[in-house]
Amino acid sequence: VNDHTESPTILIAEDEPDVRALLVYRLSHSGFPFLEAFDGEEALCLAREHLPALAVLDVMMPKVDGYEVTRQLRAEESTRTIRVILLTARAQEADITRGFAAGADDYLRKPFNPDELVARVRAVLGRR
Amino acid sequence: VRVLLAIVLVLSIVNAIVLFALASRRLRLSRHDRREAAIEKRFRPRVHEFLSGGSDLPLGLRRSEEGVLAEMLRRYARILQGSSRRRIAEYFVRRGTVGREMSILASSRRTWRRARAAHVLGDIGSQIATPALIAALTDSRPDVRATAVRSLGKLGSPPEATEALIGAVTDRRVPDALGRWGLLQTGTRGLPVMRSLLMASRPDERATATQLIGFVGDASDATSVERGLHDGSASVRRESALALGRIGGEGDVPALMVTLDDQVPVVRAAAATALGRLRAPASATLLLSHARNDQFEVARAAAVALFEIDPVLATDTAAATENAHLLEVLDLGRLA
Repeated sequence: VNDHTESPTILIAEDEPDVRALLVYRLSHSGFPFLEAFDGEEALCLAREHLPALAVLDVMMPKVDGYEVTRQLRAEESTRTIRVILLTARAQEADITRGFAAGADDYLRKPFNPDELVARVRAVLGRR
Repeated sequence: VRVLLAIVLVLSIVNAIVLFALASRRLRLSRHDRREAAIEKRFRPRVHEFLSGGSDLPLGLRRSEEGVLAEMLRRYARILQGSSRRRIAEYFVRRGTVGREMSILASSRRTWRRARAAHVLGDIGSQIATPALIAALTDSRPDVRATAVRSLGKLGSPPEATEALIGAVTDRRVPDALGRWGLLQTGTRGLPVMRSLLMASRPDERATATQLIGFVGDASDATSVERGLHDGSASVRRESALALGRIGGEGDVPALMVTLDDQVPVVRAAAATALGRLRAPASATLLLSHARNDQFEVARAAAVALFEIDPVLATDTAAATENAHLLEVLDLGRLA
């Protein structure tokens, strides 16, 4: 857990170390404090404990996938307001629709552009 | 007994030697892994800074360090796009890696080295590699050709590769699905070549071009695609009908209705599918007739199309006639 500013905290849940490290680098250098999770189960625990403003969730994670994490966040009173951006290599229309149906606010396809991710994070946080 | 003891002794010694060799190899490998992990850890912040548009990567590295750095960058190239990926490609061009891999792809005698070079060039993502990858589509080995398609797709299949890719698909030099995936990566940029291939002498080239136009073309292509409904090749007629279902409009309905009487069943089925996609009410009665009287494949496609166009008519007819195809589509609709 890294908490060095007054900016909204972001939960990054991604099992691929390269992607996670890059997300952490980009978001922390954009001034966001962050939490890191390695799978869906850990993401849910961190979200319940720290109530971040936004979660960037990989769809294909071990233990609990990104769709299910989103659904559970939306189902619980305390975590309902956490914004969710799904990061997915599954770019079929049905997968994207499934993400939105689970309650995601936005999605980004892999391979992704880190600049676009930061822009989307700002945009989604700006909607609050 | 002595002989037996000697054999046991020799086997024990051999066993000990093998165990020792395996253990020392394992140790060497884990030391190597640890060393690489340490190098990666050291370089990671620099790599992230570089990918974010910051300072360039260090020069004058040791060979092992360069190897680890290159592998890291190739991994990042697979998951990134935009300016970060362009920076990776530029780095590899500057370091001479792209030129080296192109040369291996063109001239190595070992298949695995050519295939690896094609793969690496796709990961790096530099457009400079396009001519080398196009040339690799005629490589003597299928592995190299398939990898070249994959890598051209990773480069967004530059338009200059369109004709070569269509040739590779129609000559069956590359797996059909992979080749078509590669072609789809070109998107609308490949349309001029695809349009010119509608007049190609080979029917399979015309069919492939028609299919692709159906995916990436627009309404302005409908007239030239409609001409394909009268082609001598059933494949071209079928692909033309399916393409019109995607990019066509009301003006193409009469021609598709005529195609419902084509002598080849797969063409009739494609025409029925297209009419369903175009939601053409004028074709409802004709589709109903095909759903009741035509061959299995055509009747099924006509039943699906009829449900798209006029669900009430389809449901009433299903109940009244107990037509198997209409009842099946009705059941599938209920399940969905």
